Amino acid sequence: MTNRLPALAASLLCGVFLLGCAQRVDQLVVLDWAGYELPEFWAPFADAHPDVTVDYSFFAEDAEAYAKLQTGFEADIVHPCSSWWGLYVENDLVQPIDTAKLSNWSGVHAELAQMGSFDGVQYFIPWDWAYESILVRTDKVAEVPDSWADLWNPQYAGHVALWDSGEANFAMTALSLGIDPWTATPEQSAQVQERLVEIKPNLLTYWVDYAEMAQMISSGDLWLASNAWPDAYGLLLDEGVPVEYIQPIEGRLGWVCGYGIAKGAKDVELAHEFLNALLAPESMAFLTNQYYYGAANADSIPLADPYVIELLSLDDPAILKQTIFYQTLTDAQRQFMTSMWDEVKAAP
Amino acid sequence: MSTRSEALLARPAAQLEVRQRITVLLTPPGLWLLLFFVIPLGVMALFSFRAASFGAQRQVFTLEHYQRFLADTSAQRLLWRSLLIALETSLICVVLAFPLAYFLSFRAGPSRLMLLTILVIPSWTSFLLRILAWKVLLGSSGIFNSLLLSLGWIEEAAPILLFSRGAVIITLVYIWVPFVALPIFAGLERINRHLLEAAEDLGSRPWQIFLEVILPLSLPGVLAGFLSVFIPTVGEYVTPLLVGGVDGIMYGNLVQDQFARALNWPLGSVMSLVMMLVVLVLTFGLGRGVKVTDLAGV
Amino acid sequence: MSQFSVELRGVCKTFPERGERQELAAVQDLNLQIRAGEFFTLLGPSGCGKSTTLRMIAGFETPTAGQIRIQDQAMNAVPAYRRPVNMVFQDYALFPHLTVAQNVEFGLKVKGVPKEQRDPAVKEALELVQLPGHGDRKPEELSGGQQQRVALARALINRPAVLLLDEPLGALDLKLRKAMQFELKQIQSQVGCTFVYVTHDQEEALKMSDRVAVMSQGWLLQVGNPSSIYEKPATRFVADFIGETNFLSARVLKASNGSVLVEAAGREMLAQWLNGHAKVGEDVTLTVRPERISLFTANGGHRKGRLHGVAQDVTYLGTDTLYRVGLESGEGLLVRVQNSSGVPRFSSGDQVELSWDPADAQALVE
Repeated sequence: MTNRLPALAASLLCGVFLLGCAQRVDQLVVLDWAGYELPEFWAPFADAHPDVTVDYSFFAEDAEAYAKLQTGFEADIVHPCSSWWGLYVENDLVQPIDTAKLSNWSGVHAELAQMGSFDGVQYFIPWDWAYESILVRTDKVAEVPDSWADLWNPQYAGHVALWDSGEANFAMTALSLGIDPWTATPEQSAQVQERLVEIKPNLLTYWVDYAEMAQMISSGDLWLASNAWPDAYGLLLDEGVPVEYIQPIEGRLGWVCGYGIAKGAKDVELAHEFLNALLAPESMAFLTNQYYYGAANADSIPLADPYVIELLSLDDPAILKQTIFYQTLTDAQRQFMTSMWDEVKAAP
Repeated sequence: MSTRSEALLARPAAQLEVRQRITVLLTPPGLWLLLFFVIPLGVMALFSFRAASFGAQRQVFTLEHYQRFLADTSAQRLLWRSLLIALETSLICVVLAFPLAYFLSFRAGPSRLMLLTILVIPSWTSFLLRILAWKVLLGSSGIFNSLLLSLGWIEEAAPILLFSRGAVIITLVYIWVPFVALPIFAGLERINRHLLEAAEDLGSRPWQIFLEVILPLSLPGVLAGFLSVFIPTVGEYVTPLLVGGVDGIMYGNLVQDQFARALNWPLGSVMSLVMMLVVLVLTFGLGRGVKVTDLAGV
Repeated sequence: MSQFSVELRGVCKTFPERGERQELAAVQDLNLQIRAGEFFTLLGPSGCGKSTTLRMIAGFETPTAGQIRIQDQAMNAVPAYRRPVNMVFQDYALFPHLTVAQNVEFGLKVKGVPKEQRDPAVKEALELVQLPGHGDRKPEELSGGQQQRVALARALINRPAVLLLDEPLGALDLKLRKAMQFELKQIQSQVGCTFVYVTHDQEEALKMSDRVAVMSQGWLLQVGNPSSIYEKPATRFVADFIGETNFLSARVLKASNGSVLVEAAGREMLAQWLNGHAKVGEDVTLTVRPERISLFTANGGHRKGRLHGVAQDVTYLGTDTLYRVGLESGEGLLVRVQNSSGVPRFSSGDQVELSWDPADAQALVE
């Protein structure tokens, strides 16, 4: 008896250890924006795999996520926005996604899905998207603007705010000049930069986060907020502030972000299941109701709050058709837009 | 010191022991400095010569970022602007803090420590919170605008107070005045009160005592206070972001953009190192020029 | 024109209660007249009010009551910077950021004296305190004694009517202190202004002063020249504080003008009255200085007028020998005998006889 005891104890310990090890393999590391860890976004996955822990690591800027992966951070899933997708693929940071494994893929907007495909291979599934347009304080302005170019109109001097993003301002200014932001020639880019410097006298300030921007609109200091998202619009309407989210003649801009599977993902099958859970109509509807964002899966629209859908024109094909989503950028373009914006800000 | 202990300390063995003790005492802070200051600075210096932040280019070493910085007039202009803003802020802080410190040291009597604590307590609250509080005060419905409106000096609320270089300076001054008052206060406390009596005894009126005795002897503390706000303010980026508006953008914002957005760590490193060098040169120059130790007779 | 340089009439100073400190009566009903050109010392233990008095003359403290006159002018409303006095501080209080010359000329500069006149005055002042050529040094480079002299020069250059010195030699070592005492006296006679000097060192006071005022706990106990302070102390405190004294308890037997017969240490003896009168049978204290007592070898017979005792402690002091003698009555007396040739030397345990001149003994009423 005494001879057997040590062996028994050892095997018991091994078993527990292995069990623990086994459990540790069943872990998903998700590199995501803060606020996206809500379990309602991936409820079907949690039901199917209760023993898998989903660990979130947060970032506040796309550049941060990119830098993290580049410097060796080990993640399974990553959530960048469309202008970065190309860079991820180029630098071999993500692996192809087999959409056949995603039962919810069919409902995804074709145009958005196309953006995540490179050389015929799907690397990113689009997930959340929203418009970018001008938010206007209608009771303060003499006339409501209808074009991106109206931001330069001196009648609004001192009451215009631009978003502190080189990419966004480049795109918006290019549109106002009739230039395609993603195929601009060097001369056109210089033109855009010059034009941006010209808007500076009209500006109140640059806005960084939407809460700050909404507060400025509601206090009446700010009349035109450029590159504003519909969530601010909804927030202000809830507060009873008279605002309008315009449809510029050049068309609204649109951002879209999506999920990809990192190159070093441990369990690719598990990753696919997670992505599928994210795409489920219930998950997507929850996103729309919670954050006032658009959902990539059109099947979620009937499940979402109709007030929100209507308010944000999420299912208006006319607007969607006119919306210019941010295309992926090359490294050179990215560098240019950032340094251009710094120069604009530094310009006297 | 008695001659006996002097003789004891002169012995080589004793000197070694003293040196050993000093080494042991200095090791923890020395280690800290090495780990969290010298090495990171070295890493950054190394990065300033790399061609790129990641990838294959990372291993390539080049001077191109230095060249780029030297050619970039807008970055240099912002550096200059930041130095000016830092200078203005520091001067205003010193001018405001000196009377405070003077009152605490010479007039407050036994309640001085309590008053000093009250002065410092606001800085225990969040830095960000205080900036936001100022945004409310300076905003178009804040008390400054209300006051100006009621006085009839302006016709409509001017949010210009809110987003401008001036707003940055006002906010920074508000935050830093207690920190500047402290070293000035310490310096004033060190002044031997008999010196003031001696000056009075020799015929000086109160304002003469101030000019001839108190002011010169307070300069080391004033310099310490000045530097304690000047140095951090040069690299400020949070305050300009929140209240700087369009013309309050500072050098620190550029550096932050390089690291966080552009992912151009080499260029960011170059910019940081240049700023550090400029501040170092200015600090040493200032310290030398004032001949601090001579003044204090310390 | 009053002959008095400084006059204090009924001066009181009370420090009010402040926090934990209670009300303090630092100086009580002080009346002093200091003559022009005098070296006048305020002497007493710490806390007796001498420094406070000095500071009131300087103008750094305001009297709670009474009047201060300098050169026959009321000074109560006059601030310190307008008084014709200058002070030398105990810690010298030299301005660390100025050179020695700049320190010395400070008072003149403040009054607007032009540089051409200041420079020779500084030179003269530095020569007076024997520090010629030190003008460009900084105070921190000087020794304590040198700093003291700079402080003196800085004060004297203004030719004040009264120079106030607040324990100026307290921080110096013994040898230097003795040298400085001599120098100060010399300078005073050279310059001729009134010196008001504060110290707790009674030997220093006796050595340097024309007159001494002894203070204790805010009260003025006695004013007089050194010999009268020493030889005719007005109170027990003064007798005790100045030099060494022996005290014997005594009872009055017979009193008459000037002298008194008392019973002390079991014998009858004569003494001089000093500070008042007492009735027969009252208790008084008899005082006699140790150096006024003579010691004799006891050889059996009790000579009239002599006390008997046993030598208990013998301390050889080079110039003198100090004996502690125990009397039959149980009390002890300190006796100081000069070690001249021919004077008997005693050892511990020897039987001795003591006697003194009645003129050297005083009876004090408390």
